[in-house]
Amino acid sequence: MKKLINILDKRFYLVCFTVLSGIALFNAVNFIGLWSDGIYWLCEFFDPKVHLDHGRLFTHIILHFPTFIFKILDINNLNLLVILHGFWSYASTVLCLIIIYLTLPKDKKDWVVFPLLSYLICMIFTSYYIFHDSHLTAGLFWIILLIYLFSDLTKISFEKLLCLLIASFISIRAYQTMLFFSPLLLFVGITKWIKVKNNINLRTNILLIISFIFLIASFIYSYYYTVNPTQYNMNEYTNSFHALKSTYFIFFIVAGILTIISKNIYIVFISMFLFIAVNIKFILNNNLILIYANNMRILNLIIPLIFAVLIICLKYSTLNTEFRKYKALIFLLLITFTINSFLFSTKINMYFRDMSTYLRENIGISNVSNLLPFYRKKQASC
Amino acid sequence: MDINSLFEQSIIVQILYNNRNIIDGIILSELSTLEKYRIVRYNNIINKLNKFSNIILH
Repeated sequence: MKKLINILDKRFYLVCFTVLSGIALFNAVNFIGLWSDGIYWLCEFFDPKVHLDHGRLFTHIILHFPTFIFKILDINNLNLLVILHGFWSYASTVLCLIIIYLTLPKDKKDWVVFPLLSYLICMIFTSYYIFHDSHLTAGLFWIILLIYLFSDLTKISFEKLLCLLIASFISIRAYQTMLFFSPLLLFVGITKWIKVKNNINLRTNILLIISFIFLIASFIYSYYYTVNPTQYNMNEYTNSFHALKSTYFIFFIVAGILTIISKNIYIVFISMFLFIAVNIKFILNNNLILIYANNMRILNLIIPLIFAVLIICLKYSTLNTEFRKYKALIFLLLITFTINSFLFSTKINMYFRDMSTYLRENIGISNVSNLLPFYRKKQASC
Repeated sequence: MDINSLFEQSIIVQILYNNRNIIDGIILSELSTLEKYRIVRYNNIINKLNKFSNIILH
């Protein structure tokens, strides 16, 4: 047992990334890509042109990657397309986390716990909204922030600069959350750059300035598309704040915070126990996912911002960051996310199976109003 | 999920799960509520995947 814990501790992040990739694959083979918004984006494959959202142009291009590949290669295998579409919508953000880990200096790898925690909280509550442009934008935000914060700009490698430039370029047209992310990134980046700019070579200086320009462009575009949304009304964003009043969510956050900040071992145990209990309740009652998934998408703005401020405070404070506590929380969240994903995507697969049986038995055009009781019953069972 | 996406979901689900070449049923409130480009898309799905449909949308 001790040996297993040691291996888990040493290979903690490898385990995390492997499990997250496994979840992406499991969801994909259960045709999660057909769920909610996923079906809309998938069916674009059959249009002569893919209709990309102008405000989120670059993230949409990335997330449509399987569609583009299939179109270029003229492959019409629907099974493969649905699986790849579902897998990539989850795996693209996992790839961001892996990049974050790789770009962190060797002695600062543990700081990846914050993006991981942020990712897991957002995914547990909102991942079944399916189309992951907001998750991907949060991933880009973390890549840029951690490079600015933890890389020694006087010795920064070209590979890291390239990651920084690509991430900040994509963020120009990624998601409206960049309206809030980009000022923070600019503040962190420029503050650090001003301190060391005289010791940095010309090439690095130019590339860093370009990354700042991209982030300014990101702010301008995000502002424009927030004020003039192409798909949603502003009140859809503000309404989602109400979902955060959920008792379950409040307990979840309070127990998590108590676990981290408590010094007293008994309080740590009690809050950890409460945290586990809340997670188990969520697993047992996982049709809550359906209620939360859409309503809580605002989390992809709030959670990364809160963790970003925390990470900045911790880095510049004299406080000792107890990464083991964060790792313990990540481990618990990983279990919750894994079980929830397995249960939920299996149920979704069953839902589609029932739907296909229904359609086979009810030949012709079915009026949706007659089907509503059927679907409500099926959705409730999810 | 709006009616247009439900309509598309019902087509794709049949192709994936029923392993048949024929689309027999779709879920639709009424044709006037369906966006026009979704009907074009529907025809594209049938043609591109070499399927037959017993559903006629005017």
